Amino acid sequence: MSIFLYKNNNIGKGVINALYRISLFFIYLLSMLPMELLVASVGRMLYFISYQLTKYRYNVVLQNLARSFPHKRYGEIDSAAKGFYKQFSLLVVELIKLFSISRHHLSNLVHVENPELLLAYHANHRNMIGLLGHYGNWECLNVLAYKFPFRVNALYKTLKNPLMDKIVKKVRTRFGVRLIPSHQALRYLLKNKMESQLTLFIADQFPGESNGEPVLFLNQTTQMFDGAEKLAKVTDAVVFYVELSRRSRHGWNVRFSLITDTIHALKQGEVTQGFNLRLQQTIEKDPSFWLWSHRRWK
Amino acid sequence: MIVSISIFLWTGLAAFIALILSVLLLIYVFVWVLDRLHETMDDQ
Repeated sequence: MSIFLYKNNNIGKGVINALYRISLFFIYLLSMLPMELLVASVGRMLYFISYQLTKYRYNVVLQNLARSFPHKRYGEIDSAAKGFYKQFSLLVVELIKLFSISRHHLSNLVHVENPELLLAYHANHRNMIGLLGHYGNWECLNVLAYKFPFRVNALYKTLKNPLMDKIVKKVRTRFGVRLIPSHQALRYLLKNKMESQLTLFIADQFPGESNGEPVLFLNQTTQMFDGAEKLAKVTDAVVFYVELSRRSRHGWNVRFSLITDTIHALKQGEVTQGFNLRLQQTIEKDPSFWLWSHRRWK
Repeated sequence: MIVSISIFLWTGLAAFIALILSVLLLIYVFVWVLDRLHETMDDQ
């Protein structure tokens, strides 16, 4: 992909735009297929390629699972890994479908169990922060901007590859979510402090050796991202944990649970600990939905 | 006769090679896309 070396000049931008349109065209065509057909064709092929043919990041998946569940035998770990690849293939299929699915249809697939909780805080003009992990189909939460009467933001880290970045941005903003680059989050949230809105943070990724809060997560000492907690303090936000669970074959259930609405009364690190415990419980319920293929512990 | 068999075999071989290359390209693209999607989580 040497063409991407020219990303800073006009020729490079033109090439990327052309590739973006071509890629989008094909992804869109693919996503127009009925869901069951997509699962039976693309889903099965992805599963075959990732699990059986290339063993994509298999060592990372096995290592993460074995360290997280030290009491499980090798057979159980291998079976959990297989479950992960199955769910991961389904996740990719659902991501493809997001390019063409209608708001109404996605809204039917994603059920918010307790919207009244957020609506009550919205009525009190409170700023809200939602913390979630790489669990289930987190991308389907884009539809929250359609479901709720307030603004929904999502913290976003720019991808290095400009083509992929454009494609991912396109699908994430389809339903009205506003993407905030992570380095601008503080400035943005402070500027809009008086407006009641929900900002989503995927907070379970490795924050770097010297950043974050050390916690015990899945039987390992883990640096956990604490940026959301700091931002919540600065903006006096209500903090929720956002839990996703399977509702039907392709549908998701979203449940908000309150971590705190009085953040200044808590000690430093308590919000991060609260998130960590809840996420761990969610993963232990069904480990196959967590993204085991990323290098969480280095 | 020999010429038609030869054309048939060469066409078959070309189609087979094209099929193999397409499959390899598909796998490469798939792995490349997955790596890009993992990138923000891995590269801290």
